[in-house]
Amino acid sequence: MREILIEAKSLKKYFQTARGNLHAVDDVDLTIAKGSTLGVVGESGCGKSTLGRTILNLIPATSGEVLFHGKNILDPKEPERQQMRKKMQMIFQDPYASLNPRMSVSEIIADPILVNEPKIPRSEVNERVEKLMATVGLAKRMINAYPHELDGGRRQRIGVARALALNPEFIVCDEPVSALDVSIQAQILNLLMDLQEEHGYTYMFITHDLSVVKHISNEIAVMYLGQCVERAPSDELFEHPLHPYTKALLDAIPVASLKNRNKDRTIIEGEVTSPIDPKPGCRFAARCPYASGRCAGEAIPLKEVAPGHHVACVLHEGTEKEL
Amino acid sequence: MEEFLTIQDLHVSYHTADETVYAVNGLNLSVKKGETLGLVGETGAGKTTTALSILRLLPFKFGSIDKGSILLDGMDLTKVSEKEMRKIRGDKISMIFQDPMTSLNSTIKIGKQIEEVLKIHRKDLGKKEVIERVDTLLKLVGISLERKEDYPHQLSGGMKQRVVIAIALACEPKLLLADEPTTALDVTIQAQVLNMMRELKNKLNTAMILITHDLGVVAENCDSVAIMYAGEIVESGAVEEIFEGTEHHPYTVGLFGSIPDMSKKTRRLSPINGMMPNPADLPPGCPFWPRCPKAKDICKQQKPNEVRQGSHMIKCHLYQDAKGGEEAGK
Repeated sequence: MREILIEAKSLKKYFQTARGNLHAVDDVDLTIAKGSTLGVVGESGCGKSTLGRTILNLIPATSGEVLFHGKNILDPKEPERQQMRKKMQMIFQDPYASLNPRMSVSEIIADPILVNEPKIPRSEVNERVEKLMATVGLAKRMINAYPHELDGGRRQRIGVARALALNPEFIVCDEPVSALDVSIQAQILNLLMDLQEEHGYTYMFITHDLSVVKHISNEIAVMYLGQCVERAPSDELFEHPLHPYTKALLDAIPVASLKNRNKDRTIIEGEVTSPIDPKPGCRFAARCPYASGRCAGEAIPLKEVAPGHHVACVLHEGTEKEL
Repeated sequence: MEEFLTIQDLHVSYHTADETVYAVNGLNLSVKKGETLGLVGETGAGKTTTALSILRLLPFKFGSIDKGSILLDGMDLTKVSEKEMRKIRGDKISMIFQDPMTSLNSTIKIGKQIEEVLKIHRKDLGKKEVIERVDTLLKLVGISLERKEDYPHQLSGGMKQRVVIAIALACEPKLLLADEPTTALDVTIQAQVLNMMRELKNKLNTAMILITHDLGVVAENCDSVAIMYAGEIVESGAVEEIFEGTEHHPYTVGLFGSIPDMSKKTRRLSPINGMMPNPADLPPGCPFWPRCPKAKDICKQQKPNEVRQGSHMIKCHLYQDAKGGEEAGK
């Protein structure tokens, strides 16, 4: 077993709205081993981005703990908190909105260094910026360019370089490729995977694209309305999906091959229900073809049904007989 | 089956104060009755411009069709008067736009928005008949009649796209242009909407051009495919020829290499290097050569011709030589 780098324990984030509490992240537990990638998938509004931001403490959690190297970074009394936050970075979804249009490429990449390590001489900062640009594949001549001069793929490379500037250990990638064209998307995915191999970064990769998540992840967590409904190693999840939502999600992806044409697929009816003050019980029950009386009433916890494979569904409560 | 829409040698450009952007450069395309054509390409390839040219909705003053013809059932749409064109839009040809969040009028109830099309194009229908037709359309796209009095902001993205589809289908058009109809939707909703579009299309025998960048959507919905790059069709053919054939344009190979294959375990993707050329400053010769792994000297100077083999067309010098030799031998 590899060393665990990040651990979230019953992490909750509720937003207060006029109509009640919006349960964006509700009781999520997860662990990520050092040097591996956890993929988080789900549809829009399921709380995957909020989860990523809460783990980095970019937005304060309602309750719960996030342990980084075994120390709770959400605890304001933790003395090493500031130091640890430098080791945790984020790559944002939209390379058009996440870069300051009034800063040049070198200023954007140097910014985290200047803020966190102000004593470093300027010449060394410049050296590091140049090195970072080379790492992410940006030509040196762009050093004084502004974001608007560059296309989406290059802008996202700046976002990656900025995240790497402080030599982090853990990076949350929030849909880093969904705003990009497929050929550019593949370039960025290759870059992220090469960097992981070279430097041993740990990723939490948030996406709605299941083929991307399978490609890059060691383990996958499926989220639905703020809860993690299934968590399993990547191959296991795609070969033996257990939760009805995971099955429907996998079935809904269009595959670029003619084999599945005219295949009968289970298409789930309806749409995501409101995340505001949800009733206890399974949140997917309203759309689930297998829903029964047992699904309502009380919270359904994640259970380990096979080594490493966790699922929260009444269908899979009786551990062995189901498999 | 007969050709229903034929586009020949279409050239479209946009003019700005300091440059001319060549968005579509000599595009040839044909769609048969009841057929679904997938038009695939990356951002800026000219897919949407092609659709807008068919409807003659290019931005006034900036966009212009410079050359070529668009024949719909024998009528050249590039020559039709604007008055005539207004009758065709929404009736014979209709379009589903990419973003359902912005393509509906946010201040009009959805029932009224569907009515509007019928009031313009079906003047013979009485008030009662119009309302009946709106109800049937809503049922057709799976929206309960109680939502008729709702405004767009009260509906979810998937439901808004259903309303847009209802509007597009209101007059039972002969040709439907769907511009990335599901890109803004979640996968499970995308599956619902695509399924519904497929059923309705078969029911009404509508021809459709499905514009998308998602090869998965193409594989599951289209009969034929056209791959577009820098304003040209670089490869086209039946869906089997594109997905299972062995001869391809290097750009098509690159596109397929860029998507992670769910059935295989490859650690690295094989993307296309570089970026799409600037359409205001296209390279001479084949537009793909600066990114092409197989580029030869001739690619830099001369535009390749279309090489056809049955319904399969490839526009690349790689195949030109072999074909040329063959033809010379005959």
